[in-house]
Amino acid sequence: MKISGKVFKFGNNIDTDIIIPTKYLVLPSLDEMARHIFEPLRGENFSAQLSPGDVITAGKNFGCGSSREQAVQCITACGVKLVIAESFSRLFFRNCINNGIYVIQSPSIPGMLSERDQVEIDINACEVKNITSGITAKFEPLSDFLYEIVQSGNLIDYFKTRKSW
Amino acid sequence: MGMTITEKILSHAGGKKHVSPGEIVTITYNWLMSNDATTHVSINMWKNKVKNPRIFDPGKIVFVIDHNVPAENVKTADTQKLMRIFAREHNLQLYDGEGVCHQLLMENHTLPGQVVIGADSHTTTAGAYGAFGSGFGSTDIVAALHEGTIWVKVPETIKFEISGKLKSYVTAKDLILKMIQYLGAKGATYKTMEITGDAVKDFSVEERITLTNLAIEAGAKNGIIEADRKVIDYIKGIRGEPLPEYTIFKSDPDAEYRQTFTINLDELEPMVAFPHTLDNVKPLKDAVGTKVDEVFIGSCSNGRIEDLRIAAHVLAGKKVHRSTRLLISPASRRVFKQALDEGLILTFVKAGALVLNPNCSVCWGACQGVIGKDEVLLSTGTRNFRGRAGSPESKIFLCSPRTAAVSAVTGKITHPGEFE
Amino acid sequence: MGMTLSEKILLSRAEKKTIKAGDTVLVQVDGVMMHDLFAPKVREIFYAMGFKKVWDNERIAVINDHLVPAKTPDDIELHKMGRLFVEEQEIKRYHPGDGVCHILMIERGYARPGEIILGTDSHTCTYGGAGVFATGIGYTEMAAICGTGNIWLKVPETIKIHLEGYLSPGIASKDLILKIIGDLKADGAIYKALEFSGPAVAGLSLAERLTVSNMAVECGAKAGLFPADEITAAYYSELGEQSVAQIKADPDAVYCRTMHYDLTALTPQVSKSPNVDDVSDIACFAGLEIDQAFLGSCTNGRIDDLRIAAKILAGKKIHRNVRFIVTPGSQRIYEKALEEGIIQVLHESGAQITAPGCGLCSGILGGIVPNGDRMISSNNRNFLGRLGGLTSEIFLASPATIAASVLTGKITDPSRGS
Repeated sequence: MKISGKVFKFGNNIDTDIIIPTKYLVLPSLDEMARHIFEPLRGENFSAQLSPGDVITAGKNFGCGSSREQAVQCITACGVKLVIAESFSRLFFRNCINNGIYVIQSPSIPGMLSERDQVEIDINACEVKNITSGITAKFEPLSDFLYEIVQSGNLIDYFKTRKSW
Repeated sequence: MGMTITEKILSHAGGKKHVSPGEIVTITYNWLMSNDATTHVSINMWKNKVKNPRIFDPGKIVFVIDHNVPAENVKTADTQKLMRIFAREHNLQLYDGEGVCHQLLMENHTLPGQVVIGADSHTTTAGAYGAFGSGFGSTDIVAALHEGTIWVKVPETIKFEISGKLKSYVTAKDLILKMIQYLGAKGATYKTMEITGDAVKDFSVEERITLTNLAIEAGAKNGIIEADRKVIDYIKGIRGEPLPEYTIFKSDPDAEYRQTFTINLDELEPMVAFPHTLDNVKPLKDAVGTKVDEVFIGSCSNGRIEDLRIAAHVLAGKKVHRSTRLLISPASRRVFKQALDEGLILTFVKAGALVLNPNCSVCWGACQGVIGKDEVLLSTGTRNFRGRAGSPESKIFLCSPRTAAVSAVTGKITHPGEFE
Repeated sequence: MGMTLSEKILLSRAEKKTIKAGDTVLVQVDGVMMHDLFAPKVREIFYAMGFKKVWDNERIAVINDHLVPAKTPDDIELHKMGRLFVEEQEIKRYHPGDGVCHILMIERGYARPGEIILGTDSHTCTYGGAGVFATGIGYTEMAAICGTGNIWLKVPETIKIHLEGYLSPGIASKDLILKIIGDLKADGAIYKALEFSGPAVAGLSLAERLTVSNMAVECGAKAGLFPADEITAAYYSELGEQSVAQIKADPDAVYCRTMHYDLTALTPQVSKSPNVDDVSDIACFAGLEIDQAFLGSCTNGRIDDLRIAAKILAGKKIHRNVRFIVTPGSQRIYEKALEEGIIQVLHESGAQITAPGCGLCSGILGGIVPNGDRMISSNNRNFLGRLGGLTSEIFLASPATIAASVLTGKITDPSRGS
C-alpha cells in the first residue's frame, strides 16, 4: 500500500483541544466538526487545505490530552490516512489504529519533513520518500495485530466479521 | 381633572404640574439599567454614533452582568469584559454575577415615585414599589445615557380591582397569568396596568413584584401598584435606614381609566400559559398530566425567597422525578444567602434539584438549562415564546412556583391542590 | 520475578501465567464509564459492530457531566441518546446530573481496588489513587468492550515515584503532581505507568491520592497507581464494601526508572498555560494579578478541597477585582458542603457557587475566561484556548493557592502565613 500527498507539519505536545476544540464536539456531524480542525493554531479554514493522501507530521506527544476520538475522526474526515510523529499520546495512538489511520512513530522522520513537502510512503516496504528533498528513510512497521485492525478500515469493520478480539 | 399614579410620576419627573394620556413628556430618570444582553451594542453605539459622548450622571447608571453568568463561551466572556472596562472607566455601578438585574434594582436602588428605565422589557418590575419602570431599546438608552433624560408618551391606564383571598395553593403568578388572559398579549400596549384593591394590599411585596414584572407580557408600558407601609418596611429590611427621599403617589379619586377589570381571588384557580404565547393562558387543569422533561424555578418573575420557600416546602423529604430535571436559580446572591441560611438550598440538593448560581438562566435560554427538541419545560420564568429556552421544537408552559415544584416531583404537570 | 502494581492487576484479569512490561494482553474488564459527550457514539458504534446485548449491564456507567446544565439543544440530543442506550440495555449505573464522572466512580464505589476500569475520558486514570488500573480509551474501543467485556492492553513499563516526608501546611498533593509533571514533561511517561510508593504514601488521604493520579495523564502516563492500603480499605468500608483487596507491588518488581520526592521540601507549584508541564515554583509568579479563579473539577472538586478553601476564606472577602467560581464535584459533595457550612462560608466570601458538573473545566460552560484575562484554577489542563480566549492566561494550582490568591487578587503562596 502506498500513500502520497503533501505534508502538514506541527510541533511538540499538540493536544486534542487544538485538533478539535471542545465547543465543536456537540456539532451533529463529523463533516461539520472537521471544518474546525486545528483551528486554534491554523485559523478557520485549514481543513480546506487538506486533500486525500496528505500526511500530518508532528513532534513529541502528538494528540496528548483528552480521549476525544473526534480528534482522529476529523483527521480521517479530511482524507488523511497516515500520521508521523516522534511520539504519540497513547490514547491518540489507539484511536488512530481503531479508525484505520496508519501510525509511524519515529524520532527522526518528522525532522526530514517540511510543511508542504511532497511525500510518498510505501507501507509494505516501510519506507518514507520525501519527493521534494529526495531523502528517504525506513520506519518500524506496526505489529501484525494492529495492522490487521488498520486494514479492516476501522475497529467497527473489524468486529463486523467477528464477535471477539 | 385627577391623575393616576403613573401620570403623577411622569408629570413630576417631567417638571410639569399636569400631564394627560397621549402627551409626550421628557422626563429625568432616577435609574438607567443595562445588562449584558445588550450593553455591548449600546457601548459601541455610544462610542461611534454619539458626537462628544458623555455620561450625563454616572451615579444613576446601573450595569448588570446577569444573562450569561458565568460566561459559556469566549464571545460572551469578551462582551462582559467590555462592560467591566467601560464601567470602570466611567465610574459606573456594576453588578457582576450578583443576580438578575430587576431583582438587584429592587434590592438596592428603586424607591417609590421614581423613574427606572432599562434596556430590558421586564423593567416594569419597578411598579411594585409605586415607581415607573419601563423597557427601552438600545438607541433610546444611548441617548438617555448622554442626556440624562428620555421622552415618553404618557400612557392611558387600565385598572385591575382585585378582591377576595387566594386559596392556599394559588399564587400571585396565577393572578397575573389570569390578567394577561383577560387582556391578551397586546391588550395593554402603550398602556399602564394599575393593580389595586384590598386583596393587593394583603399581598406581600414579593407577590406584588411578580405582578408588575409580568405586566409587559400584556404589552403594558408599565405596571403599577400604590406603595404603602409594607413596601417601605420591605425596602428598609434590605437596605437599612434611613432611606433617601421618596414620594408615594396615589391615584386621584377622579383619575381617568381607559378600562376597569375586577377579579375576585376567591374564584381564582391555578393558571398556566400554554406554548407559545403568554396570553395562551388556561386553567391548570387543562394541562394536568403533561409529561415534563425540565422544571425551572427562578428568574426575575419568581426567584425570590418567598418563591423558594414555597418550592422547599413542597420538596422537603421528596425526590425529583427520575425522568425530570429540576433547576433552581435564586434571583440574587442576597436571595441565595437567605436560602442558605434557611436551609432551603440543602432541601433542594437533597431532593435532587440542580441549584444554579443566581442569573437569568433557563429563562434566558442561552447559557444553562437549555431544553432539547420535543422537550417540555415547565417554568416560573417570564416567557414561553417558541424556542426561548432552547430548541424551536420544544414547548414551554409557565406557571407558579408551587405548581412547578409539585410537578417536578410527579414528573408531569400537576395541580398543587391535589398534591397535598 | 516480582511484579509492579500494573502487572499484578493486569495478570489477575488475563488468562496468562505470567506477564511482563511490553506484553500485549487481552484482559477481562471490571467496569467501564462513558460520559455524555461520547455515550451516544458508543451506542451507535456498538450496534454498528453487530452487538446486541452489553456484556454486563451492571458494570457500565453512563454519566452526564460535561454538558450539565445544558447550554444548547444539541447537548440535550446527546443526553437523550445516552439515556436511550441506558434504557435499551438496562444499564444500572446511570447518572443524568449527579456530578463529575470521575468523582462519582469513586463516590459510588463503581471503581474498586485491584480492578481494571476503562473510561471514555483521559482522566479515567484518577481511580489509580484507589489502586485501580484505570485508563482512558476512545468511544470505538468502548463499544468493543461493551460487546465483549475485554480489551487488549500493552503492559506498561512503570516509573516508580518514591515519596518521603509529609506535606507541610499550605502544601497539597496537587503541588506534588504538578512538580512531577514539570520534571517528567508532557511526554515523559508516554505508554508507561506511574507507581507511587514510599513511606509518605501512608500520610496521604484517598482524596489527595486521587488528585495525584488524576493528572498522571498530563505527563502522558497510561495509569498512575497508588497501592491499596488501610486508608483505601477504610474508605470502601464506609461505602459498605468490606472485602476490597489490599494490593501493593512486590519488593523486587522491575521499574524502568525511579524518581524520589521529599514532600517535606515541597513548595507550592503553578503550571502556566498553554502547557501543563510548564511548572514553576510559585515564587516565580507570586504577585501577578488575577482576574478570575476556579475551584472544582475531577482534580480538585472534592469535599476535602472545598474544606481547604473554606478554612482560608472564613470570615474574609475575596479581592474586588476577582471573580471566584466554585463548582462542587457532585451533588453529594454539594450536600455535604452545605451541611458543614462550607458553601455558606464560600458564598459569603464572594464566591459564585455553580451547579455540580465539569463546569469550567469542560471549556464549554461555567465561566469561560475572556481574552487577556488571567485565571488561577484547580483543574488539570490549561491548553491553548481550552478554558477561554486564545490570549487568556491560565495558571493551574492547588485549592490552597487559589484560596490565598482570591483574597489578595494576586498569585499568592498559601504556605506563607498572611
